[in-house]
Amino acid sequence: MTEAVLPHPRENYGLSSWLTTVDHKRIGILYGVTAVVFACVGGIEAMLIRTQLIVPNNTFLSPDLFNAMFTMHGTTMIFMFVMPLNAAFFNYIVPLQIGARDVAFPRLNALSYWVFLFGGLLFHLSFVTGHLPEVGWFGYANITTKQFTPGPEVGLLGSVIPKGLQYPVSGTEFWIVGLQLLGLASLIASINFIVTILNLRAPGMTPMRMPLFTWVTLITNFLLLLALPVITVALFQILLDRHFGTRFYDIGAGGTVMLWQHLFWVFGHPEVYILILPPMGMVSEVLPTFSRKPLFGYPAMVYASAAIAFLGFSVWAHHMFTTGMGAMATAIFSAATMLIAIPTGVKIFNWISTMWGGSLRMTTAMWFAVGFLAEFTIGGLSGIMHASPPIDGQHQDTYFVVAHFHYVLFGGSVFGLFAGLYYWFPKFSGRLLSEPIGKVHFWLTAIGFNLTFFPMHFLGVDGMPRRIYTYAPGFNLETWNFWSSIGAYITLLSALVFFYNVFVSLRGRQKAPADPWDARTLEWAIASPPPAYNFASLPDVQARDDFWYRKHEAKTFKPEPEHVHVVLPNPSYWPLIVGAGITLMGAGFLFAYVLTFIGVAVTLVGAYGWSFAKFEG
Amino acid sequence: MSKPHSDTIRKSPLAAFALAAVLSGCFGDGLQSTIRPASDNAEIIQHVYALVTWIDIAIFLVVFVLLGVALVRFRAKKEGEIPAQVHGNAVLELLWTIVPAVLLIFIAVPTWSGIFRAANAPRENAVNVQAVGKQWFWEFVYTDQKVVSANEMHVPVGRPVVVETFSKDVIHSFWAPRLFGKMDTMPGKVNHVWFTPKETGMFYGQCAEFCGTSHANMRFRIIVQSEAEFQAWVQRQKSPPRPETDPAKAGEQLFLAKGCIACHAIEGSPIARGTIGPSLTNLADRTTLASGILDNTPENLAKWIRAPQELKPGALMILPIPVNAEEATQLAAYLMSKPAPAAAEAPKAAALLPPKPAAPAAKAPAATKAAAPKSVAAAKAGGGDAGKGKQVYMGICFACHGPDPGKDGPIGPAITGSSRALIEARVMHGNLNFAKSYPPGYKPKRNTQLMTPFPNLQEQIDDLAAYLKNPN
Repeated sequence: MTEAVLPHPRENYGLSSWLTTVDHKRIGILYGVTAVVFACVGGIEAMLIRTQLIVPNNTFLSPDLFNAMFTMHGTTMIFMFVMPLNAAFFNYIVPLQIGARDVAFPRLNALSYWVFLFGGLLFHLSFVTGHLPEVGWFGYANITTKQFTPGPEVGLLGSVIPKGLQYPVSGTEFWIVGLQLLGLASLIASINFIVTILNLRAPGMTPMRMPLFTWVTLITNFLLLLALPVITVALFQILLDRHFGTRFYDIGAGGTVMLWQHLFWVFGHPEVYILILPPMGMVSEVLPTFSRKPLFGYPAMVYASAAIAFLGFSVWAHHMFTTGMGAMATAIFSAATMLIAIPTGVKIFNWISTMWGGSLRMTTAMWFAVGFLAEFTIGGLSGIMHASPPIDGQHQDTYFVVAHFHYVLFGGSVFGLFAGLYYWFPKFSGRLLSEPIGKVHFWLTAIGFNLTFFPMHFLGVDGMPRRIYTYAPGFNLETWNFWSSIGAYITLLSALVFFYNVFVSLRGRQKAPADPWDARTLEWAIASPPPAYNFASLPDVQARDDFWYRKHEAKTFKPEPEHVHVVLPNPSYWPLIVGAGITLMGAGFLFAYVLTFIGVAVTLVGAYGWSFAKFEG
Repeated sequence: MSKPHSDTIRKSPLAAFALAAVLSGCFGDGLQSTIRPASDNAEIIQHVYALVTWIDIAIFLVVFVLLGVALVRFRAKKEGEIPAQVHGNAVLELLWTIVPAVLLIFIAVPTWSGIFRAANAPRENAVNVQAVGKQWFWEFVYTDQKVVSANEMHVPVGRPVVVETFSKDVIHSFWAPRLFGKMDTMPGKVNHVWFTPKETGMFYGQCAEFCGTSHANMRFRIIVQSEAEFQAWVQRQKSPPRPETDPAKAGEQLFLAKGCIACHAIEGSPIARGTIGPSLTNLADRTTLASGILDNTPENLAKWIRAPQELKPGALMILPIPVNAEEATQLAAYLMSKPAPAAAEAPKAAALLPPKPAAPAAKAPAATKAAAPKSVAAAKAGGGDAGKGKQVYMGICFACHGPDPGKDGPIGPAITGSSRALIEARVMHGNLNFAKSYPPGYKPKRNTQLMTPFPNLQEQIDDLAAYLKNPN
């Protein structure tokens, strides 16, 4: 009966094929393109911020708009750029690396994408309503309570929906609901990837033969699974406070702001490892390929990544050294934070040793991987400084910390992501990105990035706090703010070069071969781009870096046959519908509660249809 | 400009590097520099910072030299050449696990001693100050000297200053980098930070936790002086301004008539007891206005009084009654008048009231516990003089509740018909005591943050109740 209501999707091209896809490769592309679009939005916000700060006492942005800009910039870049772009790679590459046909739950996979897209769009609807969140990306209570960021009196749909069913729209609600939806998307996906990696590996692929990127995907998704529920709880607390009169963060009633900070950072610290581990995994694929040597110390790299993830749950309060937790707690978290520097350092030396004695081909992907090593090291070194609470007393909430996290997030995650993009671009598109333009892109990015963020160390040393919409002259802050803003414009230029590269390369006539790099892992054994079924027959894995082994050691590699008929999961509208339903549930807290009820109904109908959909090969 | 830190340099070579950076004009030279310590607290931080910076530089050099050498030496020479497939080296891997661990111990030891030292504030000879954070200014309450200042803290050199910091609204952070590492200023929690200033001078600080629209404008200064100068300042903080010129005298009357007392306090004045806005005592002594964002001049003060939000966006200073340019100038003249000399006559309370019979407020300082049962008894007897109540209302309450208590005022709501219990709760506790701000079971129509308590009016509550029962 459900088939009668909706036509069964069958096409391979066109909009409906994308709306109903359950193919991990297509979902990966959807994630990737959407993430890059959001990155542009976040990038523009950054340009606005840096323009306001280019001279003291500037009036380019009003204080409220500036405060909204840094809130939107941080939230967008973390939740709508780096996390989904990581997910794009998990989606596209991991099933190929483990020799699988798809992920364990293809429709759930699609659902996680739709919830991400709709959540991100709902978050950005705040621009349309003019009510932007101004609470910072970590929204510390109690500034997020109704008392300090109240809603205005009339909701967006005020003229259409009866007043009694409305709730006053406020920027803070967009932030809360947006984050809930985005977190949910990652949570759904995390279950999928864990099951996929644990259960769908090709025969012979023992855990210690998995590519390192697959390992970090597994570890990262465990982090997501364990960390996201904590922020979900915290966000519900503040939502309940704002809507239903609970008093979690009402100080007069005995609430405490410390509770929010603990809950947030128990999520927030593993979150930063969620952001950096996948790019570290990408770098761990790129360096061996372009050094023509295996990853140095593979077991240590696996254990170090797992250790970082595990220890990552024990260091959260290093974000709270100045909150007066008491000397003992402060000392313990400081010790744990220093401990976590050890596995991180191990990885850096392992990566350098991978290059050492190799035969280096300096492609753009390789340059970005090397750039990652350099910038991430600098970011890690400033991190060691503020792992010491006395020093953190001077660094916390200053531009020194802004410098640190941009070095690890941009210099680390984004450079790693660019390395992955240049490396795997031929695999997903069938075209190679231009190397000459790529080199220009790399060097312009390196110059722009370092010019923007290195001077921020100086600004921090000179006592410039974070999140200030302006600064006074005479505090020695003019010079470096100016140069930092110039660096931002250069970085903008570098992004434009990247888009030009993508545009020009996609239109290029030369198709990329299956294995343009003489690489080491299974995804390179099949065509670029792979056929819908990935592998004609499931590989029989004999070793770590099995593809390299078969090419150069056992010499048993045979290219795949051209076309094979394989039965695959059929496309489906249900994930899209359920995703829309879930989003409507959230939207109810933004505009009018009636939307939540409609959302519940849509979700239930969708879930029913999903559960009873007939499989047709 | 401070004298060179010769002791610091001898103790720490990197402090010399810091000084070199400062002198070269690169960075670290600023008024809020974190590497020009002027107190024991900041110096200890500087030492750990110097140590970590050396270690960081060493690690940086090792990593970058290795990376650089690798990039140059191991470029592919022949197309398709495959190097030896080395999988690892146990010795090396062990080495680069253990060496960083050892280096970290070097950092951990002074770190922990710094943490524990910071947690143990001295009691002997300390100057105890509360730094209260409010959107968007700082209030400094000297609990021993019993004076209050705002945005500029004076302390004597060489004595430990123990700061208790908490917030009345959202989270702020108290930070003057040359004197101490920051400590967050939180609602519902009291944090401590202490430091012993080692040189006199002016030290700059700023709120360091995002707290809303004008977070960037929440600055303050700490002025370190000799003991004698500090004591003289304390004395000046105990007296209200004594207007000498005609504009200043007019300003004194305006200060009451325009309702400024609803939010502001002036030490020595029995009716200027407002606790919402910054204390305006001894404004003449301050170097800046509006928490560090304006130079303290009569022109700036007049501009601020007329339109605070133009100078500090979002400022919560709402004028109960608008002030024109001439009135602003007069108010500024009054506030900038030098205080009365310390030992001189206590200001006559009566003289500070608007020109009406002064009786009710003048009684205020004499209120004692014994008065409370008397008021209750009077209430039970249906006592309370509505005429006196009206005088109190028109002298103080009108500033927020408006000249007609039956209508909403510019800040406070209409209050005609309020029960005695409600009046007592509001007047005695304002919005400062969650449990007692309203009588039990009473649900306020609005969640207002702005009611100041007036405990000095304890004796007048019956009179107010009588007046408000029937304000005509």
